[in-house]
Amino acid sequence: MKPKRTVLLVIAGLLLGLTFLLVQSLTPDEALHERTLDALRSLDLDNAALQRDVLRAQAGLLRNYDPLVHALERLRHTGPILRESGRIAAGDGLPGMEREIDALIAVLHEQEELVEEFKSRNALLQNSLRIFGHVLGQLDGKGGVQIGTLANAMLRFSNDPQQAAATEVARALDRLRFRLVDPVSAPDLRLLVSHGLLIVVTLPAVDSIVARLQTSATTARTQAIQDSYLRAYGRATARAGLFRTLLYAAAVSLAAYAVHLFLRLRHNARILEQRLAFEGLIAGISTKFINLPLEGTAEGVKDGLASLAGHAGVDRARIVLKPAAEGDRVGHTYEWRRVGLPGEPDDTQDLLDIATGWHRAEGDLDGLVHVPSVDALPAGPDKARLAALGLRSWLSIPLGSTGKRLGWLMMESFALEKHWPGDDLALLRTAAEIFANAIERERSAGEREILTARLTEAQRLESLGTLAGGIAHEFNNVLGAILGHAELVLTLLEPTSTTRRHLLQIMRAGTRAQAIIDQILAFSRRRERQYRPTCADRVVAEAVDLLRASFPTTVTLRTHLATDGAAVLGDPTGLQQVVMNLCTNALHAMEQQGTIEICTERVVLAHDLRLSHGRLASGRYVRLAVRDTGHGIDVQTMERMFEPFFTTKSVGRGTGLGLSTVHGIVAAHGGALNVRSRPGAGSTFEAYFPQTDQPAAREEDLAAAPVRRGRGETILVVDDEMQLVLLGEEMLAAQGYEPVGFDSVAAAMVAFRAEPQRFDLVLADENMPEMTGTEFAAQLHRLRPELPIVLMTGHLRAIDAARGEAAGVREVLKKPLRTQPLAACLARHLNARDG
Amino acid sequence: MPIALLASLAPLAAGTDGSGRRAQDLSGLEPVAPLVTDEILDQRRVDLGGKLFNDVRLSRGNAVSCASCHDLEQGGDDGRDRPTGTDGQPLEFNSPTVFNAARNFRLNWRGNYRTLEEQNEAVLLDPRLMGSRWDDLLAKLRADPGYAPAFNRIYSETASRESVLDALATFQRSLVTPHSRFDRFLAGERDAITPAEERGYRAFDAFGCIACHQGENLGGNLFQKFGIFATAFPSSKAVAEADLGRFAITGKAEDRHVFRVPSLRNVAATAPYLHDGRAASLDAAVKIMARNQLGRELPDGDVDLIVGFLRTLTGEYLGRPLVRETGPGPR
Repeated sequence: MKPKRTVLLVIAGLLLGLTFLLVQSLTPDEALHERTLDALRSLDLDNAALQRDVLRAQAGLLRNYDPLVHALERLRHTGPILRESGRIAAGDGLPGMEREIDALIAVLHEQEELVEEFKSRNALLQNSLRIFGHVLGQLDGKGGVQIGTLANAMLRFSNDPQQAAATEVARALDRLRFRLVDPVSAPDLRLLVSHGLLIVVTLPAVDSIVARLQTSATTARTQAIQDSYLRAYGRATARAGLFRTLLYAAAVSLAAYAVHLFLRLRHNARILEQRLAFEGLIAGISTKFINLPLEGTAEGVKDGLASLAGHAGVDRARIVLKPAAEGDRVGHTYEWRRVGLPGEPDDTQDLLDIATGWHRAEGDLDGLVHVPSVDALPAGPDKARLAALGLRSWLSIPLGSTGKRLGWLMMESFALEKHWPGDDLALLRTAAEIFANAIERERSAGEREILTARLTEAQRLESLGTLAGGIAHEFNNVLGAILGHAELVLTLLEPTSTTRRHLLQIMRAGTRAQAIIDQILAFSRRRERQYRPTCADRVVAEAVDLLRASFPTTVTLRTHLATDGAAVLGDPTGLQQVVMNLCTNALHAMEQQGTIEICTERVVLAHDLRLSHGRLASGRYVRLAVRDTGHGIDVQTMERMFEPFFTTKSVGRGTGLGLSTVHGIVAAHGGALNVRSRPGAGSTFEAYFPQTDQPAAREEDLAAAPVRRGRGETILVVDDEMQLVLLGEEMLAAQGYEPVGFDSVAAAMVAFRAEPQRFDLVLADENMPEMTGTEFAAQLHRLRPELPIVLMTGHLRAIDAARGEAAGVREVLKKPLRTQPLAACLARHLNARDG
Repeated sequence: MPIALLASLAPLAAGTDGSGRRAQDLSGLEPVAPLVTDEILDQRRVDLGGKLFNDVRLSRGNAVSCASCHDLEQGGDDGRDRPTGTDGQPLEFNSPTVFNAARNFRLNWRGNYRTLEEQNEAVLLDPRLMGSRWDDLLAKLRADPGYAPAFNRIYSETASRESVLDALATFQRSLVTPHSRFDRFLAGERDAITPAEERGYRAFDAFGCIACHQGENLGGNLFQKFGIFATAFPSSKAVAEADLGRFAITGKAEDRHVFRVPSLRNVAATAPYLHDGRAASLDAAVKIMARNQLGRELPDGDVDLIVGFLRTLTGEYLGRPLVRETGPGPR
């Protein structure tokens, strides 16, 4: 709206100005000038005619006054014309000119009055002269002396109308009066007298009027006005000439401006054409990418670069991607180069450094670097480096947004300088976006493939884990019975008997089986864990101490623990197991010889991190790294090595459970694993655990306060498996308690109701077909709130602590039952009751 | 002034032999000239002006038109000594004829208007004459379906003061009466007038009438005092303002009793005569003029001759000779 009004104002002003110049250059008005000259000429002519006719009328040669009237009329009409002409005198000259014209008009007016008076008087005079002459003629010869005297006197008077002559005529006329009585000649004489007297009076008056008319100032005035007018006209003409020159100048400048506008329009049209071509090119590239299969992306990017560079006329066009992995400086590069461009040392790194380090106050270009002329750059390291690379012009456009920088699109000229207009830069950015999207798409597709594979693997692991966990659980129960009974028998045997030695072998084998089961459960995450803030370094150090004892001396264990007391929320046993399994794995990889490095450190991730086996969200982590100098891992192994029972070791040397257990534990801790290895060059296993801010709990020494033996307290034992009931009863009896066992909740309930005060403590299995241990406990708790109840469970699923507490459950024991923990537990609760 | 003397004394020497030959000799200097009708007028304006001239709506109360006092059928005046004003009182001056008025150097008896436009406007607005007002008058004309298109066509505007006056004046410029017998005589048609009438012209010249009544219009081109040799206003009678002549306008002593010399064209059709209409007949008027202006009592014979000549001055309007059909008695 605003600009439109401005344009209108400018046009209006221009029109006004041009009109002003035109009007000014047209004055003096030629027609008016002609009229004025005519008026001045006719003033002269008519005035001369008037003077002539007045003289003719006075002489009696003109007896018709129409010419006088017409001359006066014409003179009158010059007045208004001259007034109009007077305006030609601009500024100071105007009043003077007007005064002169007014004076002339006044003179003309005066002259007109004189002429009117002349006409009236001259009519009488001429008439009287005629009559006088006529009567004199009629009286000729009979008038006598008096008539002759009168005629002479009149002749003298008319020759020279002086007072004396007038008196003489008057006297002669007077002398005729007495003859008026003569009846014959009286009328003639009376005429003679009256007209003679009129002549005497009028003749001098007419002469005087004519004399005054002759001296009229009309001619002089006219001349003066003519001079003034012509002077003013000259000035006005000169001024008009000046304005004509100005008008010409204005026309020339407008024409020049029009030419300028035309040239600009043509220039703009050309630029627009080029831009359209450029846009079409980019649209073409975009269309191509839409239809391009993923595997053709690289080819498409190269083609796109080729057409962009070809259009722009640069020598080399590249897309340099940001390195995917840390440590690498330069990622994948797509390049197009002009045919015949000499190969030069790889300058990608240099250019990337310049592009990322480019800080100039040239407005926010969002990482774009445009160097139309390297020569024109201010002296500095950038200029030196670009010049050293032989570049004349350089353009670097970032791909992707600031936070997710994908790489750079670079246009390089070695031969000529190339200046990119702002609009072309915008279009290039679009092109860069297209490339970025295509590359991103390709990358995402690859990633998706990897993720899909990983998901499949995880699902396989999970189903394996479920299967293994179920089996292990069953075995665990069986093993519990075996070990428990073996323990009982052991106490009954003589220390030296052969049976005892065999029994010990049974127990050793059973313990080993239990360890295997533990690992399976750990892998399948079905084991109960107690997560608490744990100091990573201490756990690792303890594990390493344990390992040193069993490792051969040919293997060097080196630790570098640098978490500075960082805590992870975890199960110390599980963490130790991770260390031990990884180290054992390393030992096996090294054929009993080499160095194992164990490092811990804090890691802060700003972005999500993709690992070889899993993915980490940004956050703070503790990283445990175990590096060996072993034979390394090939690709096939790398894929499957965390599967349970997958092993590369010879039969009998490994269970195939070590690494899967590590995987299970790490996953259970919310961490992830990263493995880097090259066959023959050793491997590095990295386990990431989320760091916690809670302080690490002090590791209380669970080692052995002397265990309180029972004093015949009655313990109610309930389990749905009779075998385990019997085992429990045996263990309790061995520790000096009085066990009462039931393999059915209902039976136990009947016994309890019959005599509630009989029992000092209840030991119940959680997983029973009739009701859960917790529900059973709740019923008992209602009957005897002060009765301590301990539940047993071998299952992964923890007992709801709140519900358990409400049901009066004091503690949950892990199955299979072992003597030592059971004794400690019973002692705790019965002691508490004892107060 | 020897030339004047020679001219004035010429009759002394030459006498008045053969007046016809004399007329031929002095034809270049003939004091009278035929009426020229070469003025080119816009006929549309003439027609419109004629319509206005005859339209009573130009006066207050639609009472009178221009033609009421300037009857074109009757010599261009009203045939009365003095017209009656709207107040019922007689006006001061005899109505002058409108014929050939455009050829007079001043208008009206006292010559107080130079142009027809000025004079027309004065008459239109004079309360004792037409008593109009421009607002009313123009409103009437603009409302009239006959005038509105005519004004639009001719002046490209609705009726205005300027256009009304222009139309009226243009019409009046068309009111010229050529082809009088005397004009034909002057043009060389020797028998257009009778010998008696020609003798009348000679007498008109010789007695001196022609000193003032000269030119194309036989008068109408100068002022003259009424009463040169004898007073025209007897002291017994109270002098009316009209009798003071131009003095009433200029206030100059020498303008006392000075009037515009009237044209004598169509004089036979414009009785009664003189500024106050005091002379009912041409004879009377000729006698009064001879006594007061020329200082002589004309014998009846000469009067008849002159009157005879004056009758040859009646011209034609629209191809018909002007006549005074009614009015006071035969001349």
